[in-house]
Amino acid sequence: MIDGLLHGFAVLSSWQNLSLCLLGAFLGTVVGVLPGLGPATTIALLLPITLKLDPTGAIILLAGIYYGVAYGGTLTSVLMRIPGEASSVVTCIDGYEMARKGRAGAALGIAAIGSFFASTVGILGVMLLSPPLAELVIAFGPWEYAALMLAGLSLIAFFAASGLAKAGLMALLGLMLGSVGLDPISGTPRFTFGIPELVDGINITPLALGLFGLSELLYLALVKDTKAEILRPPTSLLGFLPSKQEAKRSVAPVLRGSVLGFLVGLLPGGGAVLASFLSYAVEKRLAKRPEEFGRGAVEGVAGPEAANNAGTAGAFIPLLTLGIPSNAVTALLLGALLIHGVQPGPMILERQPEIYWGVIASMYLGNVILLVLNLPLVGLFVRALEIPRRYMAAAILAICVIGVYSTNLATFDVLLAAGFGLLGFALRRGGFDLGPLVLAYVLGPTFERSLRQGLLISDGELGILLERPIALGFILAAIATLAAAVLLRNRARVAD
Amino acid sequence: MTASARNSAKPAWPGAVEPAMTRTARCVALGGVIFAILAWREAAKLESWGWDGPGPGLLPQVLAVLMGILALAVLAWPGDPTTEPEGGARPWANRTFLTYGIAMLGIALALPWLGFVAPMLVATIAMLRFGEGTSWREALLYGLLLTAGIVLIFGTALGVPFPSGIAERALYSLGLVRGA
Repeated sequence: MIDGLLHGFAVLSSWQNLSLCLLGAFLGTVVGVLPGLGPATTIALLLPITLKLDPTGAIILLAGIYYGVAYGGTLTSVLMRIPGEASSVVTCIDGYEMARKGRAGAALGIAAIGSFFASTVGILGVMLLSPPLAELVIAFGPWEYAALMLAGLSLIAFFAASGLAKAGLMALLGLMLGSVGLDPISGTPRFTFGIPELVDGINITPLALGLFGLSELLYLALVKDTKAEILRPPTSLLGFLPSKQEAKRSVAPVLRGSVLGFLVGLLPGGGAVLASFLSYAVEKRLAKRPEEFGRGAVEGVAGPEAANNAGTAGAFIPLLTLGIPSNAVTALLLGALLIHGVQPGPMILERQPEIYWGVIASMYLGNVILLVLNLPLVGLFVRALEIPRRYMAAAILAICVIGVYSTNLATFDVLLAAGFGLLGFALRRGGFDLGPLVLAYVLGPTFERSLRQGLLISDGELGILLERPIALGFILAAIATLAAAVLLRNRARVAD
Repeated sequence: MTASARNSAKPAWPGAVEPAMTRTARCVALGGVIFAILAWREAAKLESWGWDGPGPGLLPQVLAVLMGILALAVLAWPGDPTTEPEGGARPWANRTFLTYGIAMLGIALALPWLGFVAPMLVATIAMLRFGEGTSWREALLYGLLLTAGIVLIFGTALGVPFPSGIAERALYSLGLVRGA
């Protein structure tokens, strides 16, 4: 493992990869600061640019954005009570109250140090758990893979904020979009509706840029272009240091948040958002002074901030070792890897160790960069909020159009992206979660291939599952998850 | 408790409570039903099981049926007009939204014939002048700056080929962009 990590740092030490790591962390923070423009949109926007990079450089850049966002979102949560990113929603509650009491620096300092610690714990977890998990997964056959993906999709639907029916509908739409084009086994065209351009299938770039980038553009049009009040951040670095009592009160929440966030990050549908919500609930329950929650409790900042960063790191385990993303952002990272011809999964450690260890090393370095960059540059990052909507919207449109076109040099893809932009807008406005759609789209082809291989081996007999306990376990877990979701929601409705 | 109040209550996890359906959600669900029917028509033409095992139509057929059922479920879910996004504001009555939407579709349609530079310049100017109400001068200046920036970053620095148009041919002769 140490050899692997050293190899990763050697990969990272090239000037190009170092610059990409720095750029990713910086861009991630800026994106985290800007409300609305989330990591999925930014990764989608940058996806075509990464085509010019080697796979390791591309994933280092995109991963930098992903974990940088978790840091950046905190700034606006604390200083403006506006979450720059979904995983920072919880920090708005007590972080902003601390800032109102003149403790903005302490809140940001605790969040930054806690995030750094939690990320380090998360990366260590990734390093320790990935190799044994990869060895376990190598023994998986097609049935196990298909069942694992089914369980993953069920969990995503379970956790989706939009509700089970809407999330399920999105997952099915994603699977359908993933099956457009030539059937991978027989070569028969499917869902092409007589359009020759669809024979090659729908590329992830128009899908991602349309759903996240162009729909964002349309959404921006409906948002009032007003300036929010920003509480003053400290001007000196000493101003970010918490008091002795604040530091003492933060230790246990950071430790709990790190472990909880990491574990939640492993779950499909989990990740940073759920981790931060759960951590807040846990801290409130364990607090000696629960009445302080909502009025500037240090624990309400330290725990969730640690949890969302650990969750971000944890999400890399299913992505890299199983090839299964746990949320929309990691689905786009998977898409980026697939574009570069890299198939994440249990064999990545053997076949492309430079990518795996390069990403791990970049996560270590990226977190140091974020800690060093973030606090001194708070003022600069907050100024990003002053970019007027009209300038941002036109730039998003330009980047989306040229980005989509450059992937396949196909003008049809731009038209397709515009269609997905309208679809994404309607879905978001209707309260549909785009995460399950993108995830199912990315997983779809592998899921179908595994399922059909499994059916072929068993000659259509499902009884074979009784001889495959792992696959059966995953299927039962999927059924139990969906049943639990229905029961819990019915209970909630009855209680109302 | 009303549906809107239920939505504002803090759930145990983000998706713990099924939100009430809005009018937009129902429209999407109706689109889902129509799409499921069209998809079924396409999928039904494909073989679901052949001599060598599962065929290309198996999964699409299953997906189309499940999608139709779920879309109907969303359509039938209890609704609440008070939960409409932005208080039920109509995007098609919003000038900025319409301008942005037309700019987006306009570029997508014009790209094969006019290339990227000219439509992008026009779209940016339209977005700023008509969508945002800025002055012609600001719209023109920003349009030129943005288009030039995109050409220099993507075309010149990154070597991304641009779709062919009058402006691109001129830029190509100057060595600023590569031909598609």
